[in-house]
Amino acid sequence: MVSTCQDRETVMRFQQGDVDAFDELAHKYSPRVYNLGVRMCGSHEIAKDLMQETLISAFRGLDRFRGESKFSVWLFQIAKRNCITIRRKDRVSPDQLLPIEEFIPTDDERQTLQIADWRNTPVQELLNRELGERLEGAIAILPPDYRIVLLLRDAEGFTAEETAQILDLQVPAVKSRLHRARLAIRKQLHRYYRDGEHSHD
Amino acid sequence: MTDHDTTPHHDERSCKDLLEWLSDYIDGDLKEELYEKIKNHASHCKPCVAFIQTLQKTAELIQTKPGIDVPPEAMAELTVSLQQCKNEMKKA
Ligand SMILES: [Zn+2]
Repeated sequence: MVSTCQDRETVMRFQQGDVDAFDELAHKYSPRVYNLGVRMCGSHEIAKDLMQETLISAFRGLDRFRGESKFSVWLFQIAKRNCITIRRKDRVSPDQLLPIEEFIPTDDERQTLQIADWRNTPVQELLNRELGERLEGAIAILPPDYRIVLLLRDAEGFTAEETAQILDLQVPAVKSRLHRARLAIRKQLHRYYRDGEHSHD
Repeated sequence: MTDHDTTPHHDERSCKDLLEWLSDYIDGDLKEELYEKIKNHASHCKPCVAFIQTLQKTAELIQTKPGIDVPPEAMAELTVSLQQCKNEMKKA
């Protein structure tokens, strides 16, 4: 909430002629746009372009921004548009669906679930480099329509309503995709821990 | 006699029926009635408890994981481009 008020105030300063006020917004949001770019487009080079194009468009369009939404939502709407343009250029696979049936635990999984000790381990202990890579890998193979919802909701912390605004979707669609995306990642992590592929350090 | 006998019998079908709502459940974003239904079910279904806990941990991991650092040269390029925009704007 504090940060939203701050953004609003910064935007106002910009609109009153203090163009350097934009630096604060760029400093705060460009890493977030960059992260979305890396994870959506799969390359640092493209992410760099996405960050650049998004922030420049925002700079040029900010005079016309009337604050109907949060600044961050508006910015990510621009990022999403740029992201689609970039991805369209090398689009190969059609949109995939993740049916819920895929995530019903098998009997085997129901058995192994209960010995899954990672469920009770603090996140900070789990988050080592190896898991980080696993997690990124699992995110990377999600169908893009699910991946972007997961990133906006869980990685960027937008609410379901804000995510719906950014992606031009209905809230139930956002929730449904978020859930399937989380289920898919959970399945990967479960396998990872069950099979003991991870190193104990 | 196994320790299975101490857990009340339940229909595995309800595990499947409730699966759809587990993210809303952990996000605290469910109507009271459904929330209670899941809570109730989980109170006697160990696999579902474990499933919910691992799903919650998954969300937490994604929420907590630090982002990727922006390479300094990418930031530098952005600064240069923004400066150009500012100059154009000042001239106009
Ligand atoms: Zn169950």
